[in-house]
Amino acid sequence: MSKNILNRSNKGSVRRIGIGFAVVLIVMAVVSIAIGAFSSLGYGESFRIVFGSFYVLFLPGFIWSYVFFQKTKAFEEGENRFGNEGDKVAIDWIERVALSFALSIAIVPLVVFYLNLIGVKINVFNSFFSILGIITVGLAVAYWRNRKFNS
Amino acid sequence: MKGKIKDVVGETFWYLLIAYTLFVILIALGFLGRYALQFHMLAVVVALFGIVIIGKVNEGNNGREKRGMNKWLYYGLFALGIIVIIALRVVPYIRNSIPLGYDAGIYKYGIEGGLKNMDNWILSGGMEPGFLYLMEIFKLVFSVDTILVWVFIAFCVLLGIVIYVFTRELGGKRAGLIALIIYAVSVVQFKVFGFMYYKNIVALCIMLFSLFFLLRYEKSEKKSDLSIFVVLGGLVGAIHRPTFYIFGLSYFVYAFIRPYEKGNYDYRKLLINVLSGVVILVIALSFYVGSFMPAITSVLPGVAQAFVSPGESPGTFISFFEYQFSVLAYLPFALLGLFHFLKKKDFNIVVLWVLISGAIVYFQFFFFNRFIIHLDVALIVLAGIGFDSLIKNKRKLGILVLSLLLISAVIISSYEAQTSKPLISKYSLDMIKEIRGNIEVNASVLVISREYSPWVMGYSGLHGENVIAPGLFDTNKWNEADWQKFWNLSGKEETKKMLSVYDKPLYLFGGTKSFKNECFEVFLESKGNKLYKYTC
Repeated sequence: MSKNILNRSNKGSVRRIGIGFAVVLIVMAVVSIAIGAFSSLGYGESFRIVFGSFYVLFLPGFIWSYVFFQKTKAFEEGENRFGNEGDKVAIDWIERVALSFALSIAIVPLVVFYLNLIGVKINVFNSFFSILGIITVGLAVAYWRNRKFNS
Repeated sequence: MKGKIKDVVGETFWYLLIAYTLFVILIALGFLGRYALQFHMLAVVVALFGIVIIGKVNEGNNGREKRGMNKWLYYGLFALGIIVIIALRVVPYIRNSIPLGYDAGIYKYGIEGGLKNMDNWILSGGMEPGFLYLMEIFKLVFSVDTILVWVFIAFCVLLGIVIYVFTRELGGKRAGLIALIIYAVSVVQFKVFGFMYYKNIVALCIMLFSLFFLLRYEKSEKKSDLSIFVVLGGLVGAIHRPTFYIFGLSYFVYAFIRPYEKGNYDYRKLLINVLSGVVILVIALSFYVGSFMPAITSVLPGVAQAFVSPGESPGTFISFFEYQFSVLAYLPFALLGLFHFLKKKDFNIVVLWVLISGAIVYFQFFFFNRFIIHLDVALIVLAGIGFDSLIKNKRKLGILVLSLLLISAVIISSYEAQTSKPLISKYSLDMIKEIRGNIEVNASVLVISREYSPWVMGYSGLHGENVIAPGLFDTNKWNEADWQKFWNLSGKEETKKMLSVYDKPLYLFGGTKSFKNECFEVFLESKGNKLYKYTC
C-alpha cells in the first residue's frame, strides 16, 4: 500500500518536472523570438543568448541545488527554519533560483579552471561537454540522494 | 525608576526619529544642504536612543506579527525591489551604449584577451584569475559589450537577491525584504555600478552566498552547508582579492570566537572552523599558483605598509566623509541593527564584518575608500534588521518612517542615475576604434592622458604591448616627472631624446586635449579628436 503511494507520488513529481521543463523551453523560445524581432540581434544570436545563458548559468546550479536541498518549501513555511529534519534540506523558490545562478557561476569556472590546468583548452566544444558532465553527475547524485532521503 | 527612565528614553527616541526623518526628506528635496549640520552625528544619537526599543514587540502588534505579511504584498514588494534595481541602472543606457566608469576599457581588454595575452599588469593583479575564467565562460554566450553592460546589471540584480536571502536567514523575511529595497535605492550602491566595480559586485554576490551557508551551517550542522560555504569562500579569493581580504579577516576572527558559548569553549567547532579556513585558502591559492603568483606577492608590501603609515593608499571611491552623508536614510537603522546583535552578545559574521571593514575605513588602512563598498553592504543588511525592530515595536509609525526614508533615498538615487554619463564621448571612442585600421601593424600608441588610457587599451584593438599610457600597463617607461616633462616639451631634440626609449613607428592619441610638439603632426582628426604621428 505505502509502496504504491510512493510510486504514485514519484510519478507525479516526474510528470510535474516534465511539464515544468516544457513550459520553460516554450517561454525561452518565445523570449528568444521576441529579442530577435525587437532588437538589433539576429534570431540565431538571440536563441544562443537565451538558451546558452540557461544552459551555462542556470541549469548546472539548479540541478546541484537538488543535491544539497531535496525539498522546495512554500512561502508560509519560510520563517520556521530547521524545526524538523526535513527543513534542513529545504529551501524556498527564491533561494533555489538565486542559488542556481550562484552555484553555476561557482561550479562551472572551477571545473573549467581545473580542466584547463590539466591541459583541456577552453572552447565552445570542451565547455559544452564539461557543463554536460557537471549536469549529468549532478543528476545522478541528486537522484541517489533523493532516494536515500525518501527511504 | 529604571523602567521610567527607559520609557522616557523610548519616547524621546520616537520624537528624535520623526525629526530626523523630516531632516532627511528636506535634504533629499533640496531644502537643506546635506552638510549643513552634523546629521551623521544625529543619526548616531537616534540609534543610541533606539537601543531601548530593541527586542520589544508591541502587544497590540503581537497577533499581526505572528500572522506575518500578506503573501502577495510580499511578492509585490520583492518584485518592486528588483524592478527599481534594474530601472535605475538602465537609465544611463537610454540613448547611450558606452559603458560607465573608468575601468570599462580595462575590463574589455582583460575579458577579450586577458588569459591569452598574459600581460604583466594583469598577472600582477590587474585582473584576478577566477574572474578571467568566469568571463571565459560568459564569452561563450555573450558578446563582450553585452557582458560589460547587461550582464553587469544582471549581477547587480543578483547581489540584491543575495542580500535578501542572506538578511532573511539572519533576521527574518521582513528584514530581508527591507534590505533588498534599501539596496535597490542606495545611492552608494548605484555609485559602485557607476564606477563599474565589476569584480567587486561578483565577489560580493559569492561572498554573501558563502556566508549564507555559514549561517545555515550554524543552525543545521549539515556537512553540505559547510562544504558550499568553503567552496564559495575559496572562489571569492579567486575573483577579487580585496573582498577576500574582508572575508578572510572576518572569518579568521569568527573561527576563534564563535566556538565560545555560555562559558564553554567548543574545541571541535574550532577545529572544523580552522580546517574550513585552510581549505578555503587552498582553493583560492590554487588559482594563483604559477603565472598569477605576482598578484599575491605584489600586494603584500602595500598591505603591510598601510598598517605602519595609514591614510596613504585610499583606492578610488567616495571618501568616508562623503559616505556618512550619503547613507543618512539608513545609517541610524544600520546602527540599530548592530546594537541589536551587540545587546544579545551575538558576535556573528556580519557583526565582525561591519566592525572590521568599519575599522579599516575609519582608521584608513589599506585601500580604505574601496572598503566602503563592503561596509555599505553589511550596513544595508543590518539596516534591514534595524527597521524590522522598529516595525515590530510601532508598526504604523515604523512603516511610515521606512517609506519616507526610502522615498528620500530614491529621489537622490534617481538624480544620480539621470546625471550618470560615460567618461568618454562617443566621438573620442569612435576615433579610438579607428586607430588600428589606420596605423602600421607594429606601431605603438602613446596616450596623452590617463583619462583616455583604459579606453585606448580596450577599444583600439591594439595588443597591450603597443599602448603606452601614464602610470598604467607594461610598456610605460616613464615616471610621473618624465610625463610632466613630456607634456611641456616642444623642442625637436629633447623630444627625440625622450622618445628614444620607445619603439617606432609611434603615434599619440590626444583626444580633445590640446597638444603641440614639433615632432608630432596631426594624422587623423574628427570632431575635435586628434591622433598624431611622430615624425622626427
